Amino acid sequence: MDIALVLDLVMKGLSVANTLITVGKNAIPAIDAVKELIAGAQSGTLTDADLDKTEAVLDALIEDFNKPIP
Amino acid sequence: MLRKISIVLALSLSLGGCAGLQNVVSNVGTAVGIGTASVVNPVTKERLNQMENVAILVFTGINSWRQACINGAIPVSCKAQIDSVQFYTKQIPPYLTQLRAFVKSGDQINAVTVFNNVTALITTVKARASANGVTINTVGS
Repeated sequence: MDIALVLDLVMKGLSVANTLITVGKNAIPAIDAVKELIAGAQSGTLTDADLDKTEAVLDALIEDFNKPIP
Repeated sequence: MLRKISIVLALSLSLGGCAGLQNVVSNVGTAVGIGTASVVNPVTKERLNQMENVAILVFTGINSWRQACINGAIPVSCKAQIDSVQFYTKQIPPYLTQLRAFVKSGDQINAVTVFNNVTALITTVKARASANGVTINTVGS
């Protein structure tokens, strides 16, 4: 594990969470994405369940953005 | 064994005209340079997952922009701006469906093509958002 890389991700992940919470958005998907990127720094750790989870989160975010602005 | 990933992304939302949010939403981000797929640089499940996590961060950022627009926190012109970005984001889901199927079935020829289409769309989305004051800078390989 590249410690410097992980620390960089953690710091930026905290920045993401802080900003999203401040504007009233759910920060969990972004935090989970950062966690996945950290986990992905090690090969062989990805499961089909991981893929499915990522896909579900991304699909929901895209669907949310693509809705018409009320 | 570590996968080499180059990570430097700064996503900042500059919400002009909104004094409250403008200073708060100044620096969001982190991601991975997605790169380009090819026969010698195939789309593995790990790479697909990596690209989708980057896309999650990008969409989290532009959803914050959308929410600020809905909340009336930024100028009303944001509606037209977001509509123009949606032209591109609406093209992504069918590509993603195809890409996931190609990767899982091991069809690398088609996976590479669709992967590059998706990443090109995400790049365009970032550029369009940037042109409207939502800057997403990705540096990496």
